[in-house]
Amino acid sequence: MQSENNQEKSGKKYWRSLEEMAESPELLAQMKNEFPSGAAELEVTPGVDRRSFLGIIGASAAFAGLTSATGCIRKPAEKILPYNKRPEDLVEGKPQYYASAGRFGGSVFGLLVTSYEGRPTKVDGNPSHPMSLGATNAFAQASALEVYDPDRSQSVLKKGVAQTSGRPDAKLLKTTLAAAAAEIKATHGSTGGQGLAVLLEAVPSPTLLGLLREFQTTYPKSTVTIHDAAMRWNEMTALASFGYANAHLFHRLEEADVVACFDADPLGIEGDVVRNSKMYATKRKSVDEAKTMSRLYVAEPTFTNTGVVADHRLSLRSSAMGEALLALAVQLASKGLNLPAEVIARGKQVSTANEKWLKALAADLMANQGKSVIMVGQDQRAWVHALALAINSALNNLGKTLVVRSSPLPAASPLHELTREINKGNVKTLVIIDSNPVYTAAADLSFADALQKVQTSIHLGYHADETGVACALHFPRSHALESWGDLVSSDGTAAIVQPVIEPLYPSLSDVEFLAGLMGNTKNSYELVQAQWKKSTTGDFDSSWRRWLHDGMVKGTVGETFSAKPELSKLAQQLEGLGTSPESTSTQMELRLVLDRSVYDGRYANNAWMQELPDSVTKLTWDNAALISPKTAKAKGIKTGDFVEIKLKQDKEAILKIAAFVVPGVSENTVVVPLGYGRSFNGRVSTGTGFNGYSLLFGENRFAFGADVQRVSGTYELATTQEHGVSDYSYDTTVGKEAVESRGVTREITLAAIKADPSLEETFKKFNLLDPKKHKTLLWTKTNTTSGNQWGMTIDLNSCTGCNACTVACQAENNISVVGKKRVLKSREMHWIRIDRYFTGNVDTPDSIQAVFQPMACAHCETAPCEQVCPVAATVHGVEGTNDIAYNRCIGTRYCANNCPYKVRRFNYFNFSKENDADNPLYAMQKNPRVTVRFRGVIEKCTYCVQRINAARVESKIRGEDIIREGAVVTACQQVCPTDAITFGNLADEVDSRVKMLKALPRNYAVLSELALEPRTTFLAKVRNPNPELESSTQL
Amino acid sequence: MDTSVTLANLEEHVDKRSPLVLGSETFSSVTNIVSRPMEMTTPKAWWICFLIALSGLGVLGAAIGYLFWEGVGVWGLNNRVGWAWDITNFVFWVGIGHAGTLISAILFLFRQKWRTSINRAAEAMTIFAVICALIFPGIHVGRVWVAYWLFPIPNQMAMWPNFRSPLLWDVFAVSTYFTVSTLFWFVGLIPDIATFRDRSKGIRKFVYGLFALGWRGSHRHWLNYERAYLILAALSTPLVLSVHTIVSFDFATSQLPGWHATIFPPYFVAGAIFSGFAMVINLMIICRWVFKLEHLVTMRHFENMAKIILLTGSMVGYAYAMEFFIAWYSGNPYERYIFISRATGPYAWAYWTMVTCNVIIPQLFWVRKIRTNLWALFIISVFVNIGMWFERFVIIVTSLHRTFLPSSWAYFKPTYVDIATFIGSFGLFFTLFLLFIRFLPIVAIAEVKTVMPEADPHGHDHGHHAKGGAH
Repeated sequence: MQSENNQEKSGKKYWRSLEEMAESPELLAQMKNEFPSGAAELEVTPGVDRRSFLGIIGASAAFAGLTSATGCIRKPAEKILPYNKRPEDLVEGKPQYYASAGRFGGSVFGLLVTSYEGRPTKVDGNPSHPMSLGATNAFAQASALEVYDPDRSQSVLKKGVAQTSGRPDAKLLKTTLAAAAAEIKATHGSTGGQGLAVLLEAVPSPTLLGLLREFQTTYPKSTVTIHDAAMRWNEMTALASFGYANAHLFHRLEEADVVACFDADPLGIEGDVVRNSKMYATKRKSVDEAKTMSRLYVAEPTFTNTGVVADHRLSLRSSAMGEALLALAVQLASKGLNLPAEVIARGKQVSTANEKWLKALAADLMANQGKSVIMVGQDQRAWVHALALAINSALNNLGKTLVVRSSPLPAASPLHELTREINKGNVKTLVIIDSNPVYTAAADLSFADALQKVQTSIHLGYHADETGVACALHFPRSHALESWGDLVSSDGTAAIVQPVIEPLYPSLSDVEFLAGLMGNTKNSYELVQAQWKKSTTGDFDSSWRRWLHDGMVKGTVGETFSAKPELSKLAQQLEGLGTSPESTSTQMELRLVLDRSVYDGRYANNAWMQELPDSVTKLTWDNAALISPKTAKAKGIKTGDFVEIKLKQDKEAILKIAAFVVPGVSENTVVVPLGYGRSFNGRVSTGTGFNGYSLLFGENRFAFGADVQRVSGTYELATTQEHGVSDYSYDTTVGKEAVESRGVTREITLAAIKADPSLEETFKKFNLLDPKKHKTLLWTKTNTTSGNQWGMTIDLNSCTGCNACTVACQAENNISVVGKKRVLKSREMHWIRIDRYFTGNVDTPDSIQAVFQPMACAHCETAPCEQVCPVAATVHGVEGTNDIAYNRCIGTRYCANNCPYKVRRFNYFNFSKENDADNPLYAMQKNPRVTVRFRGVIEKCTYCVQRINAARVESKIRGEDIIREGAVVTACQQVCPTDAITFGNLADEVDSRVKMLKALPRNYAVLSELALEPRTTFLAKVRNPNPELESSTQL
Repeated sequence: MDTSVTLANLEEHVDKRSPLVLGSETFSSVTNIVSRPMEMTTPKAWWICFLIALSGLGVLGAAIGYLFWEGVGVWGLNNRVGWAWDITNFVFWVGIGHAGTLISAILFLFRQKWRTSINRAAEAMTIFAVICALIFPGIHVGRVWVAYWLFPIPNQMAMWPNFRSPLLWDVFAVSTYFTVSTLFWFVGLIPDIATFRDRSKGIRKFVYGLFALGWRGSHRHWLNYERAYLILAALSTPLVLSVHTIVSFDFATSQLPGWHATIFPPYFVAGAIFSGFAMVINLMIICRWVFKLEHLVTMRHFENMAKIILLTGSMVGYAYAMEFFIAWYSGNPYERYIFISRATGPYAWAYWTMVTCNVIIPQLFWVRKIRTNLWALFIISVFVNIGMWFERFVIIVTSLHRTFLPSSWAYFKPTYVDIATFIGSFGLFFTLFLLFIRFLPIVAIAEVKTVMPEADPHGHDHGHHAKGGAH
């Protein structure tokens, strides 16, 4: 410790001029003692110029102040670089927003990136972009962390060996790229690209695809292969068979009153989920005013988000979808729909156990011609897609609820064709742009072996992943937040991808890479501008600025096919389809699905996504073989047991994987999410899950005749919700009764609303106490009628359980990741979680329904947590928020015990410090407006109080005490693709949307009998069952 | 063991009170018996026990050090079950303390003279148990370095604790209890320490002299002493009821099903006395045997204590049954669920351990042969304490692990640090207790002498009158 006198001097000190300070010999001596590094420099170079001298003085003085404040702990020397020229528009501590675009889960939508002093911290949807409308999915949220992935590729690799030691080398990157370009030219220049192949993902980027065309012009014999988890090959084939070349389907759920999904998950991870969810929600929200609602039918082998929200769900294996659709066609034809006779004839050969369901659906579709849509999952075979299109067309839906649009992607071949060519020895040079086929290719392709046969393989990737290390040459790729680019959405809207930060390591964007391979050394900015200059008339610069500002290119709509399909062509497709035993066989079906957390594996090294509980299983950090309770019982499998899945097709594949018993999976079906078990050496991904790709044969993600057997050993699976999954023997008896009698999630029917608009009778069964009778409160209620009184509603009717809010909250509020071991101990830190409850009989998958309930701190007016905190660390704010002073919290956890919603989270260790130590770049993502919590304190949802306060500053500047409606948007509300979350001022009598929603009869408080007066209330879920099927609906 | 002697005072006679001190002990022989442990050369057995206890204390220190270094996460707690072994141990130790105060204060006020030969050890046990108890609320907080914020210390921010919080009431209740118990114990010790002072030499004489506060046994000393003792007894008496009542408020005033119950205060107090007496029996059986106190601590004492255990055990059993009745009768589904879950859920093993140890086994005390068999007494008392530990565990953990929202149900598993801390707390307790029996009078010499026939100036006559008067 320093003496008091010394401390006084070295603490905060004021001086009249820098010169005075610099000339003071005592001060210099003191600094020399205090900070040898800075002072030594003074000694060694007495003749430093004025600028660096002042720099040293400033930094040293700042550190001197730091040291005296923190006592004896000597902090490591850090460099603080001030803005000596402040960038225009930048105010320190104030975020800046940049419009951009991104492709997440196969969907392109506009983004709004938040940046603090040059650090992107959060990625949100661009409200003016038609595919986003302000919302995003969870993947987009996670990209704010992805850019700071400490395991991202940082240098050029040759045969998997890093070419630089220590510092990343920008020069080496350029010279190696130039050398590669020269080699390609030397090898293929004379042959016109014979033996040259390009492999890329389905990235609809005009600049990239323009360069690709240029590349193909230079090397006309080169081939292009697209390999992408979201690529809808079967749909394309089906569309092509009707004459729509290179086309894809675009759905308009805002027009659809009846939606029937066959193995499709339009609200989960398939296609334009964000837009679909927004549009779907509009048809559900109409329940309050118009008392109408769309009806959603879903047939699927395992719960998807779409299946959970469905009004009617049929548990059906993927292999039986086509036949179900044929049977549906027969039903429709019998009701007078004009379908080709061959189709009907073929359909009559099919026997289905689900006639009642399909009949009811057929009646609904017939009644809603032009207002209905049948959607088929991307993994279904081409003829199923063709059949669905035929039915949609016959139902007059084409052009109304679904549109055939031309795809911006070039004609390309799938991966198996490329592999065949490689194996034939026809590929000398393979260029892979941001794709990881060694990991994601089907097992029967043995792509890793094939890759070794290619003389020169050149890979560009964000990670030095499985493919990166197997290729002859690997280049590090810039993150989308670091480079210029452009993307076209499936609705045709183009947007410019704008960088928000300089690449953290020398790296190349897709366009720079491809241009570089042609010897073009322009950077991505120049390349993207060059592309758009071609198609722009008038003043390019002002258009460009407008596009960047708006986040999209005005007037881009793409092409739509308007011709009706020739239905007679359908018959050809059905020819040769024998009667398939698949739908009735008791053989096991293996269904591989894209994972809701790591997608195809690309988010496997993203800690947020790994710790994000799966929507249905609530599983974190792993995938597992999902099996229905009945099948599991028959096979003697329990959750956590190891099973061996054997699949014998051309060759035999075996995967040893942990089993997870979950209701809603079809019988005799095993579902394995893809994307885990990566061999890429990421510090997050290592040791998570099992590689489902080892069971993937061909392009179809389902296969028949899998052999599933329990083998010895068990595996620990970390779920965040115990109830309903891990222990059926116990929970089906007592637990089920407990859930249903508690009225936690309230589910009503549209018919009930019509019959009882006030819902008083309907809600009686949920009310343990008459809500009118228990108004005697122990504590005096705080003011609720004046000033800003914050409140929230969460609409269970539109929530699809997509998890975007959980990740958005994590990004906004600096929430730590705790790791699998601690999730196993129920120590996860998410402030908003999605509770999932099942209803129905676990032994009959068709009767199973599920419901999602987002749960965060409800900010009770008579909060049980506030009463018990011994140090008054958690107290009630004047605006009705339940606040925590982290610095006052001593960590008794009494509040968490007394919280009836169990939303309070305790820092059992110094999680944030550990996170930063494990992943050194993560700290850059932190939101500077939110306190980073330390060990030993409780944390929980604050209603994004930092956003409230930012809005308060703005209103004070305007001279208003009341914050305007819409000025505060919480992170969860902002991201929600279905606008299920509404937040606002309850004291605002005029504009407040949340107040209006709270006045709805559907509004209820969870655990209302406890008289907690929570500020967050829920709007009951409304299902719209078909009266003909109602008996099968559990309510 | 001389059965004729040990069982000699079990019967109540119509014509006279049974003697409380047996054998032909005189004032001086009583002094000699009690002073012997202090005066003998330290036996090897004591050293062995002390080293074992000290190792336990070391384990406690290591476990706490590790806890402080790493954070509360080293325990098995989670976001659903925020308290488990920590608060279980706290309530367990506080409960044990209760017997001491009951014996020394309430039985004193009720003129239960048989208390005199066991009250000293029981009070010592109280203080040591409260010390063990106090550790847990102190270390269970997330940021121990600011745990002092629990106390209403004036500060420049004018930040006071939250007086609505039962945890704060706990701080006051338990610290008051500790202070008063310590004072009470110390005041009672003064005449005996003076005796030790007079019997020892050198540095010991000096130290005992320091604590004897200049006691010379004058009439005025005795007058003041007895007045002070009476006042402290009166002060302690409400504490016997209040401390565990307030400890139970931690649970009762919260709103969790399984915690939120008006039955808790009497139920907790009964449970505390129950476990405290069991601990006294355990300790006294050993002390009596080791220090040959058979004439002072007689079988009658044990039988009386067994009867109290039988009574309080039945009260606790009644409370368990009543909790189920209330859960059913209230019609509250959360309450109902939590009790069904206790008896049949994942922690059923803990619940049934509790019921067996606390309700069923103590019923054996209806049989006098068992009540007067030292082995049976010892073993049953151990069971009672196991049961009472589980009672707190069941109340705390089973209520927390399945609360209102089924989405937030979890399971608690202790870690080795949890276990080490608990075992270590016994190390602390026995370290203190071993020091006590080595250096302080384990029987209140002065008080025992007052219940000997020699102390009664009226002899046999007086007793007869008193008896007659009661008719």
